[in-house]
Amino acid sequence: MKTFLHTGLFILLLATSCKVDEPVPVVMSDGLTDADVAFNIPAGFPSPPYTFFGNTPTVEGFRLGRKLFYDQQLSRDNSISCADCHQQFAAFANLDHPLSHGVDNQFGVRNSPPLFNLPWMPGMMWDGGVTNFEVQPFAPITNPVEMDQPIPVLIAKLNASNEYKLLFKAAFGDDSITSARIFKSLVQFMGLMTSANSKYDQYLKGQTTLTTAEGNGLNIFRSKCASCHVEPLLTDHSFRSNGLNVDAILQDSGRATITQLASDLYKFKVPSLRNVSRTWPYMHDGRFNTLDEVYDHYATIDSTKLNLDTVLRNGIQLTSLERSELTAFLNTLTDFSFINDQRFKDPDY
Amino acid sequence: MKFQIKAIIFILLVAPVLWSTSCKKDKEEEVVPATIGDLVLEMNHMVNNSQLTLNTGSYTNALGQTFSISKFDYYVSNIVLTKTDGSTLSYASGDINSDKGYFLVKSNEAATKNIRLTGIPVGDYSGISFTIGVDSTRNVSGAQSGSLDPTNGMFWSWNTGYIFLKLEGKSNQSGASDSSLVFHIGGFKDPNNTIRSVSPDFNGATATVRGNVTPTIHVNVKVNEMLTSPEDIDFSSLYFSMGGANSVKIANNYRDMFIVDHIHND
Repeated sequence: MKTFLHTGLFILLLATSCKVDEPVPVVMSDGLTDADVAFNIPAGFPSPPYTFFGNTPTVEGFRLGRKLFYDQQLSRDNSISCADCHQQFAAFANLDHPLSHGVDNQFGVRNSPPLFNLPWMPGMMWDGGVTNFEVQPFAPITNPVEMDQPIPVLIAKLNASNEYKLLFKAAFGDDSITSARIFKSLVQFMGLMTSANSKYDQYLKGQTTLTTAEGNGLNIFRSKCASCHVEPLLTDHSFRSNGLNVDAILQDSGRATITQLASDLYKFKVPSLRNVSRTWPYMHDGRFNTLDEVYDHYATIDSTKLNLDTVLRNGIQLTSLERSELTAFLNTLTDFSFINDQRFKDPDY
Repeated sequence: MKFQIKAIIFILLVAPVLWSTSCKKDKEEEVVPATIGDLVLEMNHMVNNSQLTLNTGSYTNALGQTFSISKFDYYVSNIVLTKTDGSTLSYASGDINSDKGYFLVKSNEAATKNIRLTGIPVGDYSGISFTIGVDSTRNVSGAQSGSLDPTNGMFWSWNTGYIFLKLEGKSNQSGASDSSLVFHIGGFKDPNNTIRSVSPDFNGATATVRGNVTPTIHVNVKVNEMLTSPEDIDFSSLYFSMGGANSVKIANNYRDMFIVDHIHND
């Protein structure tokens, strides 16, 4: 009788609360805490253009974004995930692939870039064509030579999964799956990929010292490279031509694809040099495999190249000693705590 | 025991009542003079003087080139109504996360051709202006929903921004090998900014919004105007545009595409 009474009271409580909250059976063992998903601006970094306005990262949103990032269902034939072209050990670039590799073994037209410090990027992609971080994932997911996945089909796939319904509900309050929620959760995950703890960063903070070679390399860097690869992000986010020969097959117009201005032909975004030793091959089409090949290019720039950046008119000449010192410095830009950060690993492995 | 039975009876009888009253959200309004009403913009798609019939209709542009239309979709936003006293009312939401005031009209979805503006203050309205497309702010505001969902087919993923208007079709005079016509008009940055605002004239008519009167403004949307004045579009040389200078030409053409035919006040 007593049990019956209690049941009745329980029904009453349930009824008056209007909303029947299902118990959340998902108990995650990933140990993520609020602190793990707090967005912090590292000391010395400027204010980022993307501020997570209306998309404050939460443990649940980050967890959902991470699951999506590693999920091959995002591609048309369930063969590739974001992580296939953005590998953590390569600072989320695609090591050893000059051009990104999509469904049906198709090749894209550009080198998949590393992912870190993305909220600071005013324009995404090599040509800056994507002007808001939140719509960035739309491009690779739907690009016919990348994942080739219409978003409504992706939403249908995710709706068929109880696990995803629970993850969306945990992240956004109900289990409705929309393009905005997919994109926002992916951005919560990728947007927290901050790389600011390399040896170089520790040196700037006075926490460590550089070797003689690294120190000399930093001086070379500051006199010959830092006008474009501006510290501390190591890029000024500008679009410039560094005098590469135009690939006869790809015929990539670069920034002009977006602006349709002849003055932007063959210009590409200056990439950050953070983690550079981990992100080969180099350039927008991955044409160079080693830093030495890059140095060779800068030493032999053809000054008559259309739209060649004025600072490169005379190329960049380095002695072999200077090359080795510059490389020693560039190696200090590898952020081991970032490329080993447990938060960013595939949760299923 | 007796008490317990009473308690159970109480729960069984009263609980549903509590539930039903506590969950009711929309209470009946008391009868007071209405201060707001609705207003409808009814878009009537035409080519020259015929109704637009997708795929099967055959039309002629100003240069005598024949064509058919398979798609005609566009955004209407930033609607501003002008009262007879000259005051204006902006139909928009200050909330960047809301799509209120952004309407995607699709010629193959009848319901989208009736743009219903709700919560309009009672009054006499003698003018309207709106943007064909989406303002620059919303072009860079991230992942949005509803009419502004980037997956509606009206958003460029590789050069992000909304496609303001799509006209697709076929013409034997098209320079394309498959005879196609593809005009995707968009772009919000100079020099190729295609945001255009229009103020179709009411011709002296008034839309009288009352609590029990929902005016319908019948707007003829003359698709052929996209292809002429100030610049005739020759399909043999211009059959494809996705932003850029050619899109600017077409956007300049379609500024006179919207014509208020008449207004019903009922």
